[in-house]
Amino acid sequence: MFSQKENKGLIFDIQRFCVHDGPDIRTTVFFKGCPLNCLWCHNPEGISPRPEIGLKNNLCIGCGNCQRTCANKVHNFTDAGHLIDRKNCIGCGACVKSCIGKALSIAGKYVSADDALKEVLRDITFYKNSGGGMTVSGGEPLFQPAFLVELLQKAKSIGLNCCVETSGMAEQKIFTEILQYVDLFLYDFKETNDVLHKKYTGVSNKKIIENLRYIISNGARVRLRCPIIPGFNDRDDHFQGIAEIRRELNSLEEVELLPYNPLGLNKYERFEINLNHLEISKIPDGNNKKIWTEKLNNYIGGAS
Amino acid sequence: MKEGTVEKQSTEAKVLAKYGLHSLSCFYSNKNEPLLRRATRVSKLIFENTILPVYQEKRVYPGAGWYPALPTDDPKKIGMGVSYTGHYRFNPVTAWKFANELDDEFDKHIITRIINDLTVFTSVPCTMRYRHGGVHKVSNYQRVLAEGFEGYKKRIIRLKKKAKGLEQDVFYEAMLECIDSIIALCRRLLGYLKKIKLHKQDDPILDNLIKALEQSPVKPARTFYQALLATQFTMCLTSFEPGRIDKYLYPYFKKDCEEGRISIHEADQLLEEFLSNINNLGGVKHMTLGGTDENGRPVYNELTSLLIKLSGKIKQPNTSLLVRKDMPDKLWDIAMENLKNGRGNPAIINEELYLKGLKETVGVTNEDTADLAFGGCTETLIQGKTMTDSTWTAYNLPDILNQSINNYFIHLKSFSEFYKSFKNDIRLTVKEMTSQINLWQHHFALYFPLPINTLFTDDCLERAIGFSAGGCRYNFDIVDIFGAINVINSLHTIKLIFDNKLNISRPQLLKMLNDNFRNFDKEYIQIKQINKYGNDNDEINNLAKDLLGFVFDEIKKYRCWRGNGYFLPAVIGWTSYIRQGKHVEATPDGRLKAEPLSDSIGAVSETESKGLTALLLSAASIPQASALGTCILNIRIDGGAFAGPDGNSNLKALFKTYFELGGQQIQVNAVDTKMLEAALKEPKKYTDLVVRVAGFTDYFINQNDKIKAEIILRTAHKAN
Repeated sequence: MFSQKENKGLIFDIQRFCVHDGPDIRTTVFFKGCPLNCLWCHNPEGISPRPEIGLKNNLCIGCGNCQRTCANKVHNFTDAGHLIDRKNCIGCGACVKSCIGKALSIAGKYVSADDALKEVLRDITFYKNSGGGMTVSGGEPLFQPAFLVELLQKAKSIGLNCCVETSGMAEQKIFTEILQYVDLFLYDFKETNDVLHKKYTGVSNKKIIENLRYIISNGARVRLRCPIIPGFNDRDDHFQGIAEIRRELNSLEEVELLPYNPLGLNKYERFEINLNHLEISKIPDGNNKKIWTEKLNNYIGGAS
Repeated sequence: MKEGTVEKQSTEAKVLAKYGLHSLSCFYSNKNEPLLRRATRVSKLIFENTILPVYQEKRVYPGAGWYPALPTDDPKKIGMGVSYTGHYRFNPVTAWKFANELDDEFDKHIITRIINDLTVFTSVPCTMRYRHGGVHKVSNYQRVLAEGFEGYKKRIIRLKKKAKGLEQDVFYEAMLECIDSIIALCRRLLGYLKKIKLHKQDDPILDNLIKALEQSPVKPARTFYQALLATQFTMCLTSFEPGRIDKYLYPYFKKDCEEGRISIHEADQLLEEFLSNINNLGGVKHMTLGGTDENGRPVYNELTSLLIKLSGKIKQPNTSLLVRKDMPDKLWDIAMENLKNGRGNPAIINEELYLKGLKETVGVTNEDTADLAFGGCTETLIQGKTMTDSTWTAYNLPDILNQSINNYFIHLKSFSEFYKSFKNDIRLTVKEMTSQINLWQHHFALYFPLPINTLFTDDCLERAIGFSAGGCRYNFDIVDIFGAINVINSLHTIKLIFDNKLNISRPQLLKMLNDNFRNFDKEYIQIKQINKYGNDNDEINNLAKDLLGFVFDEIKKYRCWRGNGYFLPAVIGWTSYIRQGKHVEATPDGRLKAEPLSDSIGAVSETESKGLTALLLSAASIPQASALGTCILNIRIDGGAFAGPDGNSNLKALFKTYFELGGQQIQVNAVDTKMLEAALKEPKKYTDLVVRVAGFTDYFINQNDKIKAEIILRTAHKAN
């Protein structure tokens, strides 16, 4: 399990003015660390549970400040360019501060719940007027349960609307604990076929489906979000699977199909995350989403 | 050709007439008269002789392209003339050439004297450091519709009877001649149309036009169509700025609807024609919609919806929508649809903030605040009752800062000492600027009597004082502050240098600025990377609040010469933010020598990264309520970000929150960068692409390369 530093949580971003992570205008806190390893992950810097250095090669001016600053000598300038010895990097972030061109960045910073909340609350007037609030996303927020509970508890105590975006992969008792604070779950469902689920994400979907049933039976508001990746899970049997869940759990607020989004691709390069197993040749467009949605609605309607 | 009504002409008049300079000859016909009286003689001459605009089977006649002019006057050839409004047409180069080529020594001497007069009239007693802009005005259309020109005439006769002294008597005599000649012009128009009618028996448009013009504008308007024509005609004589059109036309529309005379579709067609007249004219004009009426009730009616929709189809007039908390969602939605689809209109205005400021700080009565309107870009005025110098004054803040840096930067020990010295410089220069502007106002009052504006702006007639001399009920001068955001960012850099937080010494910075950052690549990158205004950083927000609060307060310490009026601070920028940067060397925020200054109170291009809410919070840190001349906020959004079902409500929530936090005005460009770049490459395909520039809307392809580049660089806010 994840190690926590002095009651602090590890996050890789706090992004303001989000209008797609739950209803209305929201600020999203991205937790770092995830038990899944989805082939199509668009926040790959959220997977590892430790801080990582990112490098934008096009901004590096080769000043060498990072090399001089780093205690572990992980920055090297060779004929192949600026290289980072990631094994020995402890993610202290000293090099990022010294970087003149802002080519270096750090994904992963330990923050207290109070500090994270302080940043979230900067936009409080916008939440009041729009109905929005805070969304906790990741990585997997439930991967850092103590920090998550503290953050949600504090947010709720001042009346903030809270969404949690989750893969569903966590111990049931964590869900039990956070249910009281969460206004809406954005719950991922990635693959119906468990063999393929293991292949694509590294874990079984059994616990995920169990947890979904559990929170719904305990009155949680849930929007099911299904990433659709061409060539992977855009299959009829998966749409049928989603439709079955939709019919079984009729208090689900909504089922949303999320077509694969390639925007995260350059992050793989920046953080040198291996992507050789991911070959998505087809980028979906608006038309794909329409066809998929129609298909899903047919399956849902056809059997009811 | 009539040569004016005065028979005994002055020497100057005779000489001028000899060379065909008829408007000037008329102006000089009696040198002993006050200039206002002389100007009304010219108005009369022009109205009697101007060529009438051709009837083109359009309902809204005369079209807005028509400025009455004397057909025999040719200022291009000789470079001298006077227009019907009392403005001089003067091209010194052409005029001197003409004078120097005259053989007759006497005539040459007279013409030379007149050229010298015109030079005095048109000179601007203000140094280049502070001079700028022109005048915007909205006539009292409401009164024209209610009284008709004959009502104006009766009022002038009544006032003339009570005139005190010769000066007032001459004033009313001039005004009487002015209104008489306007009425005569209306009759000429009508006569012309009736003559056409002889050849066009089956033209219902013409029949209706004649019928309407027989009543209005000479007599009070009775129908919507008459009221619209009267507005159009008055606009042709004055400014073409329509003001609060949905407010003053609505009673006529409502009555017509109730009596079955007009349908909403017909009103829509008429208004479209009316607005396209203004659009075809060019220039910078303003229409103001919505808001509050005299009884404190909202003005959100059927015309408001129609006009907001129409404003999305055209570039001019600029449109502002006065938003109250109770504005119906339907109007929000119409406005949002325009904005999301890349139409720059309307700008969204926090009306409450203006009403409060106008009442509490510049003495506008409760009733008159209901006539709040804008001229030009977004210059604040009370329609029909105000003379507003539209940013006559340019206060170039980076120009002041650079001098302060040269004076104090090396010797002083701390940022607070430096900041104090800079504020002292602001104090001194603001005082100098207002003195110069007041001298200019006095000069303008002496030499530009502007009879038509005097006639149509309250309370010039009652006070027997001209429009430019302080006769209006309210007199404002908008002081446009340039480069405000450059200076906020620069001060932040300077503070970091004083606090040794950058690896840059003070002498090094001076050197960098002098060298325009050449040979300082690393330091330049470092300076560019410092956090900047627009990212909701407390330290920078506090700096913005303190600095601009101080500048606004300093400006407001002084009163205008004209009518003991008020200087209203503003951050607008128009297109001048480019010109205002041309003489300013590099600034410590990383802006290069001669580059454009910051426009509006938005972030400098490419310096914001925290999204729209952060930008709005930064902008709201500026004490905008204290700057009644308007702090414009230009934002660019990616229309797609607001396409979903929550799109309108999210956009609305953004605006509402900004207003709640003290924001005044916000204007939106929703065009994606790809489209702008494509328009750069293939302008012919994008001739209808409309963008908000700095306070006004225009076609993208009309902009020069620098402005185009600036617009593309403005951060497009995507939703996350």
